[in-house]
Amino acid sequence: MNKKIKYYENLGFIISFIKNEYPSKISKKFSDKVMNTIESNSEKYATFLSLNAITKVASVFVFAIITVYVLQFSENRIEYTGKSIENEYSHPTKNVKNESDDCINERKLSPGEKDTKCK
Amino acid sequence: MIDDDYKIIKSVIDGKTRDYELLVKKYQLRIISLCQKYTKNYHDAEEVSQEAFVKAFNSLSNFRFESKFYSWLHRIAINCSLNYINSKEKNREKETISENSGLTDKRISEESPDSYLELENLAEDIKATYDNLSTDLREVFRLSDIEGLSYEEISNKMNIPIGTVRSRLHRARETLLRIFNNKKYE
Repeated sequence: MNKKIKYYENLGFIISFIKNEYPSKISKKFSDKVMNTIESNSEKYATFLSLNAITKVASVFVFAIITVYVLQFSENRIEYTGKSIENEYSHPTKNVKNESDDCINERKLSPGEKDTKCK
Repeated sequence: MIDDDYKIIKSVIDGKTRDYELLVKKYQLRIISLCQKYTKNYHDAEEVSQEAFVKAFNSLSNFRFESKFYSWLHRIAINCSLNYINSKEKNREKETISENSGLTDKRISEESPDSYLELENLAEDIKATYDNLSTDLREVFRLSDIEGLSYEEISNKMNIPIGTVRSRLHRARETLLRIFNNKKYE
């Protein structure tokens, strides 16, 4: 690999010189700096992904525990009976008419207004 | 050479991150030179080029194999350079304020002069060697490595078999690389 890298580097230099596209100098560590940045970014991304995965698994467990707890709690509250429930249906004795909002302050209205708003 | 780039990109996308270094090594001078036209100084050009190579790596999965890798990288480097110019202008405004309160932050290069490779003399020697190559070798090298044509295209253009293209290119590269290695370590 080192031989291949050297070959590419040297050929890159030659092409740049012939094309007249080169700076007056170059840091010998330029490509190392680029590769170090890329590799450290990849490591950070991998760490982020693993943390993200752990968080997802943990949240699934927490959700499952809460769900099981809620189910058990609601099951305990149910009371069964052997008797049948019989309720007498009570019919309304009369219809109730709500007072309209305009009629609430009936006493403050003038007689004419009272007739129209409190029909 | 173009086919080489495609092979490298595919290998990087498949997970061989270290292979990206081949592309960095191959294009570093041209990208730094391009960025220097915008930044007007070497240190900033190096920083911007570094950013361009990292951005290109991060977007490599979006690279369409219809265009040349260098053309794509070239566009990324120009965008990074323009962003640099914009951010520099903003920083200049901030510096004007902080200069008054004595808080200017002057960057000092951490690298010694020995950690740089001077290129002017090396470039002159290589250009002279290239000019002295036989016409046949120089033409194949120019069409392949400078113009980026495929072996088949060169074969059709020069009316010679592909095998001859390969052998002439090999001889041209070998000559230039030998001179380059001799001069580099003088």
